[in-house]
Amino acid sequence: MALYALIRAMPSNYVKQMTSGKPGVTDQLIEQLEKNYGLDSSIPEGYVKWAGNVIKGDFGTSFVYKQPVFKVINDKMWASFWLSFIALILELLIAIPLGIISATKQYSKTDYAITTFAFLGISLPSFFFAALLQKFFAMDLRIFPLQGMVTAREDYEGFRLLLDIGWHYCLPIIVFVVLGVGSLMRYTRTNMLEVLNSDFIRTARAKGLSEHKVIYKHAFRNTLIPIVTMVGGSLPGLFSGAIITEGIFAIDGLGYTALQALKFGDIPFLMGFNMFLAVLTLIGTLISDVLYAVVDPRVRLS
Amino acid sequence: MGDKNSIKSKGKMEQRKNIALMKSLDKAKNRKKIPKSEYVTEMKNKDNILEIDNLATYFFTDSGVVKAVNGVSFDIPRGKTVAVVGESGCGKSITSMSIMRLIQGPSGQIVDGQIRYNSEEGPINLVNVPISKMQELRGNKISMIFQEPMTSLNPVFTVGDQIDEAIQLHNPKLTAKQIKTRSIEMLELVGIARPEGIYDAYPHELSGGMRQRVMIGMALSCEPELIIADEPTTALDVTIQAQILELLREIKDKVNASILLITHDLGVVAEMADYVVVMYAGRIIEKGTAIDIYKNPQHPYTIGLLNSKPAVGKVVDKLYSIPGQVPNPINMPSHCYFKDRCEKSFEPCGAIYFKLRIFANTFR
Repeated sequence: MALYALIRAMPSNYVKQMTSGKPGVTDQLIEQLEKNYGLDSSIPEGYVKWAGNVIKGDFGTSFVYKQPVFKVINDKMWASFWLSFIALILELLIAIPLGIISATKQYSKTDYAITTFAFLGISLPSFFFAALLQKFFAMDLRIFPLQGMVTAREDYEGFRLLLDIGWHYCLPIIVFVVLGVGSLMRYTRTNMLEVLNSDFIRTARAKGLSEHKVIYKHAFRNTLIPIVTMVGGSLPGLFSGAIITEGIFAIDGLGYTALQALKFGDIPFLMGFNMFLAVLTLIGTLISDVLYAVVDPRVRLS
Repeated sequence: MGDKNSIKSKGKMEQRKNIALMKSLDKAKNRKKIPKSEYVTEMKNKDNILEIDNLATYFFTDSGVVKAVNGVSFDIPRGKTVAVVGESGCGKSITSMSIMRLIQGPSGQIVDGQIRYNSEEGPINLVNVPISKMQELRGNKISMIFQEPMTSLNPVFTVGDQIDEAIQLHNPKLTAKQIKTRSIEMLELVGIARPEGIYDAYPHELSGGMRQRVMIGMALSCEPELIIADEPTTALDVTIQAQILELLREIKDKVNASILLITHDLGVVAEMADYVVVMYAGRIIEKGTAIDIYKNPQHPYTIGLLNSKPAVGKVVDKLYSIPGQVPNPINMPSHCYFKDRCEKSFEPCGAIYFKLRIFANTFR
């Protein structure tokens, strides 16, 4: 509701955007168009109408793409999803081992080195880091393409297409990973340290287990509990895309599309998009709850 | 001004020296290969399972060195129970952790002394033994029961898994089935009804007393020669306490093990111990057979400790307590640590800490 009001209250609307700068457009035509797009009603009226349609399962048609909103989301979603998904997997693969190492060697040189790297990643602005990568790898070294998802004018198919997309994804994924790995690593480290100081770790050592077993069996299982919750909660982030990074690399994902929609005042799309995120957040919470029960026997119901 | 600065810089120098000492100890401890000659020793008495000689364990903190254990010596004869008593913070737990080499490094270090253990392959000094050797002994020949049963079991593994793990580790030849049978046997031994069901239970499904029984079962699963029980009954209510102690005594006789019982409960000591060691502020102030200590305590602290225990059939308005508090472990005075709280303190108490006096052969 508030969202709808906000979008509607923006100084410009889709019709004005479309018609501005075109001399042949009469006021009458604008009125007619506004009526067509449902922009002539008042804000509460418009919202009720939209909500009524949603209940019937109709999210409306995107103004910009002239297609049903969910078809647009479905089309654009996968580009963002694979990008974030691969990045997330890499982040987990890098951050968790680093976090564990840094916790087991607390206050050592290794710990400080990893922490410095992590904070460097956290503090880098994505646009700046992305631009740096583009400069070095795309412009100077020419290893990776500058932007886009596929090579233009090469109509690859099947496996070649997949490879081509993968090649284009490299730089954005690096951006995601470097920026995201830090917080996850610090999170792992904090949790690991807490677990390592607990009594049952002392018991495990007193049993005669090797340090390796103590850490990777007894401590790790307990560290996993909060991490799983966090990863489950990051599900909506996988689909929603990243506005800035997608923008810089001109990747036609959901983040990029949402930004365009906002620019043009594409009300049905934005409303549908936010609905979609809300549902994903709920599913994410559900998944993390389910996973929580998998890793922590204490919350299991018998 | 100049004076203040020089004191400050002196303090700093000392701190730097301490950090250097801590690092060198940590390095020596973590060496990959430690030659055998460094840890093979001789026992003073062949009947002892463990001899602790002048043990000193310090914690190097930012605000100074905490001398948690400072020159402790006592013996544990085979098949006997030795109790270490003293109030909180006197270093009894740290002594036991030192034996197990479970002191958290790098800040905590065993600085001096020997812990001679009479192993099957000959006496060894546990202070210098490489960690890999220590891992063979832990849970196998020397095992420990901790004071917090509520948190001492890993919450994400079943009780059975955790006992199995200890058995499997020290008996790699056993099959999974044999291990499970043994675990269930252990649970039965410690008096758990329905051991098969408990085997598959998670720790959070058990009560404190049950968990402590599981801990004891785990500690005994490899038939250790020495059981270190660090306040095994503190977290439990009185009825369970009696059961647990009874259990420990029974099992001790069954496997002919020695027990090092760490406690501050003098009632427990009277019931269990053959020998008593009284500790105060990181030092031993009195040691002897249980009868000696109870019948004829010599040190004013021991007398105070015994007086502060409620006695059956005696009506008192207020339970006796020793006045004052344990001195700050950083910057300990060089005189008797108990001087300021002592009812019998007199002129010579201000002098340097005196040596142990021998009152009887078994009693110092």
